[in-house]
Amino acid sequence: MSVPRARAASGLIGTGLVLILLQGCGSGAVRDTLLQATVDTEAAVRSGSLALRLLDTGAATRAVTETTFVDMTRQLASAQTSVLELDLSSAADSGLRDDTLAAVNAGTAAVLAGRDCVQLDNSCTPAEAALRRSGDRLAELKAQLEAGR
Amino acid sequence: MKRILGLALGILTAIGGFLDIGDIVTNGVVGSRFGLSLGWVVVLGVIGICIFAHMSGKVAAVSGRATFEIIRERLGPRLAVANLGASFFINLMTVTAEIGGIALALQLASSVTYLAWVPLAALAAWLVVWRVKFDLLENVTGLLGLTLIVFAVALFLLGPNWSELGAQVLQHGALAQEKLSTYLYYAVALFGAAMTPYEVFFFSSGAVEEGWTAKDLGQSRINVLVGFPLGGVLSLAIAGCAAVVLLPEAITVTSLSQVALPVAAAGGKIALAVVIVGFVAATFGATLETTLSGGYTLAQFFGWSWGKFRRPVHAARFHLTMIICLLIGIGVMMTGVDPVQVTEFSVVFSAIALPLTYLPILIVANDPEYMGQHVNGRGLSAVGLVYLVIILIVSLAAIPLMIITGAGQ
Repeated sequence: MSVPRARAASGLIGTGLVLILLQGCGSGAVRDTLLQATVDTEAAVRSGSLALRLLDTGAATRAVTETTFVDMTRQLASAQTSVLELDLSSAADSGLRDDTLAAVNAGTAAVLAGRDCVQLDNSCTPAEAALRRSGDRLAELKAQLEAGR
Repeated sequence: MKRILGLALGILTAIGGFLDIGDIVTNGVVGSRFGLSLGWVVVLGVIGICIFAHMSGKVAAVSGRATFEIIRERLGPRLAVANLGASFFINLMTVTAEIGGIALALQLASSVTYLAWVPLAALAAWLVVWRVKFDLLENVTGLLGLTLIVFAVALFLLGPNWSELGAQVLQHGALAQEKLSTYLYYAVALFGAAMTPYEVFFFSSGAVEEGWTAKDLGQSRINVLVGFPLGGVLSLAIAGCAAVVLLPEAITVTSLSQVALPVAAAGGKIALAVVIVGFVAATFGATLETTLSGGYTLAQFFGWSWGKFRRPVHAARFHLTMIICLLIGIGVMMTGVDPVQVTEFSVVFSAIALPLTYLPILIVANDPEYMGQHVNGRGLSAVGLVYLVIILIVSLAAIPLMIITGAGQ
């Protein structure tokens, strides 16, 4: 390959990489991050709910249910961090950020309640109801964020 | 009768040994996010691994030499060093992911944190590669891995709407809530998981370990052409279970525990116990294969004495390499890094390195001077070339897709 061609090719690759990296900036990126946190939280909450249902019907062992909750707690911590560390690009996004954070926190509380009831061998009925409510709220928020994309 | 039993055993171990943590996790993730719309990638990957595993086994049987000896000879020392570096690094990532996989599976059985299982899993793997004969370790883990058939049974027990699943297979595109780039990223990951390079390193080195000759090519062909596709069916069953139970609930898979939930929903505690045994067997078997592959690649490249058919004292550097691989795997896992994320990265990086592994195999298998009457025919050569182009496209697309999608988010 000749030198000018090689330069042109490396310039093109560089421009492409910059464009790819720029995709991670701006209001769209804020909404994408909030949407991802919502999706991850909903997945964690619904996994907990499914695991509790399976435990309740005798289909799952306590160890598998407990492990599912431990895994989901880790996922929620990551979702929460991504929202907390988000830099807003406009004031309009702050309301959405706060709504998302509230929904993530409610989901976290529901998953922790589920984990506690399995570990402490208490009744899981209230935790299951909380997980269901939280899942529904997160589904609404997800639809709202997707509509605004 | 003995031959038929040998053939059956070969096929069964090929099925059971096909799946590893990369296949299990990636198919679970894909099923929960895209249903069966990426099923075509599994089919494409399985055909690819059949073609290249067959070629590498043929080369090893005819020449008595394994893949990395040939890579060095064909590419020359300089280019081969780059190849060695990439292949060894990716293999190391896969060893780490597999050790993490064993630990996660044992956590599912015990609810004791996976970090406590990591050193024990690696120690058990070391003891087996040190003491147990090659055919025994291959057959036992392969046969136990067959318990993952429980995913296929679970899929039937779940009583899915088959026409809906069929429609997903024919969809060939991202579902409404997913972006096309994410769909393509997971296509690359699935392809990398199905065609992961360590499988051919292990397959060709295993052929030398077991002393294959041209006479064994028939059995090798049947093992590959029957066993691997049936292993691919198990991959699809994992994705199918996730598509039926997790996708409608908006549960995207991020952990091994979630992959097991559909099986529990279908078959209760017994099915759950069977699937955990399958997880342990598949990941333990793959840990042995990747650890051995680490030793094989380095020893074959540098011309050291290698192989389990030799006593460890006569292949000291080969065994030392494997010990170091396991220690690095333990070290990385003990940092607390998420084993599932390591797995996801390992399959994508595998996809990036695919041409480095498969190009030399195709060149040698097409060389009449080297292969004599067993050289690739025109048909196989043409299919191999088409696959090489696909592999190259996948390899080039992997990193941009990883950046654009934020590693599949």
